[in-house]
Amino acid sequence: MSRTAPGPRLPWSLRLVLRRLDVAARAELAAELAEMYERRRALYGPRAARRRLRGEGRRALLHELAAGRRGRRSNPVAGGGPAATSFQEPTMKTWFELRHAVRRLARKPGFTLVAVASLSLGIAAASAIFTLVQRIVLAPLPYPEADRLVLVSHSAPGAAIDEMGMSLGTFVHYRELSRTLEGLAAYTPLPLTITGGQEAERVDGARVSAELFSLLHGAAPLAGRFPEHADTRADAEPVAVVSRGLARARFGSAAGAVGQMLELNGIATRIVGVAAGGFDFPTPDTEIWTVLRFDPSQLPLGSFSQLGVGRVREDATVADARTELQELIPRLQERFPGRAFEVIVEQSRLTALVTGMKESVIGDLGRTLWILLATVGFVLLIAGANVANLFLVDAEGRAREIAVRRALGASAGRIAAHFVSEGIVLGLLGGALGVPVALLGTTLLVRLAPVDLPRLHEVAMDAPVLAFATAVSIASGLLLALLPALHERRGDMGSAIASGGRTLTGSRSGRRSRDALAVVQIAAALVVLIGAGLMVRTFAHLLRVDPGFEPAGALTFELSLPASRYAELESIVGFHQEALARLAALPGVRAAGAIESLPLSGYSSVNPLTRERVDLGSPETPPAVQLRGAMPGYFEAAGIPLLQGRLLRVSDLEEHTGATLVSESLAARLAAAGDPVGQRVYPSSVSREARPDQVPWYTVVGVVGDVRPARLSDPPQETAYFALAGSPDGQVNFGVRSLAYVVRADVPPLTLAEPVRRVIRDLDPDLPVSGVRPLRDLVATAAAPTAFAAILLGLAALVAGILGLVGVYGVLSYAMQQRRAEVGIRMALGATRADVAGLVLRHAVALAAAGVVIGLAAAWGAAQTMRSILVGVAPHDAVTFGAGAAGLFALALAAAYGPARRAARQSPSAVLRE
Amino acid sequence: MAHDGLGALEHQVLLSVLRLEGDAYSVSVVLDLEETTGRPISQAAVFMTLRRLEAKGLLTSRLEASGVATTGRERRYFSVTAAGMAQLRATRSLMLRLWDGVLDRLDEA
Repeated sequence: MSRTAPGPRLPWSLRLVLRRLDVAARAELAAELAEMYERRRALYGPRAARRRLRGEGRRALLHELAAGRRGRRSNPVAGGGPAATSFQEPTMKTWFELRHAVRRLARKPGFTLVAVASLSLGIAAASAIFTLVQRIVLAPLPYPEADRLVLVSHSAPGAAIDEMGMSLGTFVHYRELSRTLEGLAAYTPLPLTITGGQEAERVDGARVSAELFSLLHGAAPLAGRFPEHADTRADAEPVAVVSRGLARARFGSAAGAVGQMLELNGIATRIVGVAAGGFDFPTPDTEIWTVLRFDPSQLPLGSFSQLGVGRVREDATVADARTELQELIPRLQERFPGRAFEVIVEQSRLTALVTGMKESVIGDLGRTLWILLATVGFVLLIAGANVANLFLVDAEGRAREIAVRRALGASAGRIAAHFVSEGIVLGLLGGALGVPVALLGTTLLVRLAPVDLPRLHEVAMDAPVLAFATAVSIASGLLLALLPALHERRGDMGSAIASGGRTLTGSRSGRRSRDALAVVQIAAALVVLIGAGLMVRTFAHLLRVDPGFEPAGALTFELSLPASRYAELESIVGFHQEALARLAALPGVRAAGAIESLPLSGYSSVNPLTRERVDLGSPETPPAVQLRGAMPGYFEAAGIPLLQGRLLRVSDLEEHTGATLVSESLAARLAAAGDPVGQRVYPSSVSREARPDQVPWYTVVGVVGDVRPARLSDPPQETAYFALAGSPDGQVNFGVRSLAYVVRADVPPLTLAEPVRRVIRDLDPDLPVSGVRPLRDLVATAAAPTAFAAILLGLAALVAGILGLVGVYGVLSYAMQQRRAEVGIRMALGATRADVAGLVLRHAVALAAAGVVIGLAAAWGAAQTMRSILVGVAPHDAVTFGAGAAGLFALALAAAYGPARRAARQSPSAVLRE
Repeated sequence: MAHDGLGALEHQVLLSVLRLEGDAYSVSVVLDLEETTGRPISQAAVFMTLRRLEAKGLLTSRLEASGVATTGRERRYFSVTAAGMAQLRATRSLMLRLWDGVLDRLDEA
């Protein structure tokens, strides 16, 4: 046995090991072994030291054998290979972290489920509403350079007219002289009847000036050509452009339609072009555009029935255009010298109006949608608070684990990364679930929405919305995760480890955070609830508004007599009379009548009404009132009450008595000069020099109730009704060809549809009957936008309530659990079950009180933004606010029920034993 | 606590050398490890491990004359290199990930 140093005799196993070393190492090891032996012998005695040495040999040998095998495996290549890579710190790849987060979440399915459900609900709602906002409010109109498009119209404050269109005279004037407007076109929506050949068909159309297509259509037509200047001459052949759909339906293809003839409202018209699919000006249903023809030398200054659309020059603003047009108005005198100018421009104070096209199209809806988006934002907030609470609870449960990690050296950043990655995964999952739900929701919304909601047909989910949904998902996940991460930074590590993360009362700041989140939820839910309540009250108010007529129990439809077969006044009036007589004779029918346009239809026809006793000889312009032509039987059929005098009779038609009915508000104005019944009026302005006997006066024979021409929320307008063709001088003053018929019966209105069609068919088989619907629909359509908003806000309130309930329940439940020991002690000291339940209830009431106070303040501010869409209820309506607050208190108490019962039922000994 | 590349003892030795802060040779490391783990450790194994770790570049050694008085020769003291520190950090990361989610499970019944 070789011994290089003095010391104990080494066992054979050790010697074997030593032999593997080189000489120098062998000497070193031997010396160190000897040193160890000496130490042990000094401490424990020689026998113990020798025993250790023997054991040492065995262990050394075994270890060396194992190390040899392992060495060969881990170092296949000298100086490198996998061993080298294990030295690197595995980079904290985001993907890696996220995968881990997924695994962690999979291990707590309850938490994950509730979190994902809450988030997806909020994200779905936000995405659906954002789709509407994006497509209707934010996206530009589907015309070339749409942001420079404007609508041109006029007001005449001197004649009390708020808004009217352009006349041909002003249109040509502006078109020629304006430099801020790059292009100006005139248009009028026009229902058209196609006759001749196949069965008569009624379509939506428009009469437009030639510039319209270059202004709005942009690209070349699908087939044929667009109208040119030559087509607008009074003696030119009537031409029209049709939609792609109509071309295909009637002629098989777009190209096949070019050159074909159509009889439109009795006028033979040639199709010169086909518009591209999707061109939908002025409405999505417009199928035919006929060309406006006029004689430039015979332009009327008055008759403001054209609507105007133009494009502002690139470097000019809408305000510039308005200023310029206003400056052009006085120059109208050069073109139209004489009395007309005096009355129309000077006396009426003609004012040009130029407004951006998008604002006009969207109208009030934009504001409603932004309000809806804000509401949904609140709902998302509540959902987020729910999930944040879940995170907090979860983090508290992992306090020990987190503390140990910190002790092992994990930085706060890495721990935050854990939570953040979980938050991102939850957010993405919420988005993945929420987007399909949003898609479904959007489709449903579009279907439920009122048909005339502007730009509704453009609504579809697209890239910006998906981007929005993704951003919201990730953002909410991040924000929610940061909460416990920030929270944990302040945590006390030592006590967390020592207590095992479960103290008797739970971390104090944790409880505060959870309570704060619950308060936020309650406040947000209150805001949503109050918003919905205000909207519902507006809707209820609208429904209770007296429309001025009786909607139930009557049917309405429209007829339009073509000029080709009803050229003479007598044939027109004769037809209407005969039709009404036959309709009145149908079984069950109590009254039948017709009128130029129904109330609530948005139709407006305004003209100054000259009053014999007041306006004759006066320099002031007579007041402008709504004028309507009516057939006898209308007021009975529509259910408009007679207040004084008598209604129109058939004899008024036959004897041309000039009978006139005035609405209640107009009668009040006439009453200043005596009893309205018997006064004489004329439906236009008259020359100042005219003598009373020169004017073909009409006579007021009765007073009827007011109706509203457009919206239920509008005030009633002064209206004068004239018997069609009943003027003393036999002149036709009103458009008698197109009339809306009303038939009142004892039977359900729709059962009359077929008999009505038969009556009309018997009189004229080529005359289409359109717009057959119950009169009731008028009111429903007028209230539809408000109903829509109310339903949506109501849904939001429901979701907010559910989420809030769940959230508060969770907070109360967890708080109760944390205070188990305290409760146990109290019960042991004599507290009753009622006392314990009272603890929970007090907590709930405290949360509710704080939440309600904050919520009321927030709702106050929020309600102010709703002012413009509320009708009949003030933004600070006490009833709604009070009901909302009471509702939230009830919600908090309801949430407290479960935890209170559980707390009261537990046994103190079981709690204290833990 | 074995993992890819380094054996269990190699790990323990590396950590012990770090803890001993320059005072590390087979005797001190054995005593330190026996105190920490409560089990007997093979001194020869530690000795070999120290050399092996140096060969891998995780440790570096210097000869010091301080031990001459006791043993009549210079002692070789070891300390941890930058690479060795990197290796330890990597191992710590791995340990944290392995213990992820189950740290508190050990306290459950």
